[in-house]
Amino acid sequence: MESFWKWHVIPENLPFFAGGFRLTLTIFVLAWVGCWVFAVIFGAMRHSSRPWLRYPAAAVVEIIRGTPGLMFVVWVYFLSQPLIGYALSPFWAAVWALIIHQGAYAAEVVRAGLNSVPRGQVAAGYSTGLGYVEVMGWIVLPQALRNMAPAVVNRSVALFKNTSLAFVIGVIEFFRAGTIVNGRENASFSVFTFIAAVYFVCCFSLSRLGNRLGQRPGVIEDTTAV
Amino acid sequence: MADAVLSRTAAARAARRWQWFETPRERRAFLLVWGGLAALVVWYFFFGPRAQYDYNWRWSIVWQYRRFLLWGVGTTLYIFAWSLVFSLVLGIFCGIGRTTNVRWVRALSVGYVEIFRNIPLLVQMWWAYFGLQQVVNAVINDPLGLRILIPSTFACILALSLYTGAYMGEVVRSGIRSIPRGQWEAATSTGLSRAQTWRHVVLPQALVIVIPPMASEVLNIIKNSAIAMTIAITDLMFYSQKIEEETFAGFEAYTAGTLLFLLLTLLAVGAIYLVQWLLGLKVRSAG
Repeated sequence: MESFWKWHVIPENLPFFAGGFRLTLTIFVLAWVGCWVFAVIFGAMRHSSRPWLRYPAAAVVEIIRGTPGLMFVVWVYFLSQPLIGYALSPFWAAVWALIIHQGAYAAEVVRAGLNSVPRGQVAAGYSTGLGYVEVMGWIVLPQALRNMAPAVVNRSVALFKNTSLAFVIGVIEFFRAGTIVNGRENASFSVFTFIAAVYFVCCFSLSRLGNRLGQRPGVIEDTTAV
Repeated sequence: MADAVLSRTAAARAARRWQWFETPRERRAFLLVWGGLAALVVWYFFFGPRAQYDYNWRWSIVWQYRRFLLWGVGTTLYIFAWSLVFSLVLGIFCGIGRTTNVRWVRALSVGYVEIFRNIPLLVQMWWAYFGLQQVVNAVINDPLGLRILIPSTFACILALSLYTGAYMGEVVRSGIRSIPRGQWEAATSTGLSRAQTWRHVVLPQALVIVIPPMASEVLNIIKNSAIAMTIAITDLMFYSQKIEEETFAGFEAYTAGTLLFLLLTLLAVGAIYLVQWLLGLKVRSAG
């Protein structure tokens, strides 16, 4: 009889897990930065009153939001072949896919944040003689960022969870490190419980931070199960 | 400057509602931005570094393997339907549990939501498939000499329902919270019991309020079901990969799969709008 209680495999393979976790963190940081750059551009375009900026941005964001993250990661990986002539490395394919896919969700957060500032304030700003940059920098952004803060943290939690999708194209990040260890040790219960626990600790502490930021009226909530 | 302010007034906007551009400068900006992007793409495909390579487009493969894609759509819909039922039930009970005064029910619901929302669905699915199987082996199969195998469909629907149920619980909770306190007090003062208040006053209102955010969670079930491919569910994602394995036409196969997923999501959006219209509600975006 073989026990499922094999916790000894965790300390034995700890350096391997640590390597995977470091890669997960690298993907997370790179994708986080890129995702918010994407989000600010497309969120601002969707918030604009000009139809020639608004509609193309809306189409891009809605199409990306309508496709599964896993599909998107694989798709970007294979897209690179016809587009640039050679396959992107799995690592960069995963980073780009996460930037674009999560960026589309993040763009909705940015748009909601910009929408949370009443248009009258913008008009008032223009009528006192401020230009676009001044109105955005001094009137809209300070208020929008404060309302967005909890949603930004929630999005970051979602991005952290979604880094595990990189597993499917062969990036040896934390989850794939776990599946490799499991393949060798046949300790799926212990290994996957350990992985779940680590992800839980990271995401839970992040989302606590978000809850602390979100204890006032008027903030934007982002509870999308992606 | 004054001109710009005037053009922003509501009357000015109403007068020019059907005009794409408010000023000639905007038309120039439009042509510069989108024309520039289009020119860049055209240049890239004909003269860029890619032009030296010759990618062999084989879109006919998608039509040849249409059966695979249809089977995949069938499995995806099957998983979607069961997960939808279970996660709705879980979500409603969890939402009620989070708003009751009974402390242990509330603690249980909070624990459930926090645990399942903060672990990637991929990990949950693998835990439910591989991890659970090992427990079943050690606890039931080996002592009793049985050979019970957890079906991957069961593991997938279990994980997907628990994951989405946690998110739906949050949505239902915020719906229940939005019912004013006065309604509770009014129901109590007319002599309704606690259960009757839930059944006749709170839930009928709360469940209507939550339809738009709930709709977006429903769409997420379709999208998240792609992850089931990793535990060998033969869904749309799985068959896209199978086409790629058989023909090496990866880009074509995955593009077809992506578009079919998009189609499913759009059909679901349509169905949700239909439900809202049938219920006589104001149709709102269900992104």
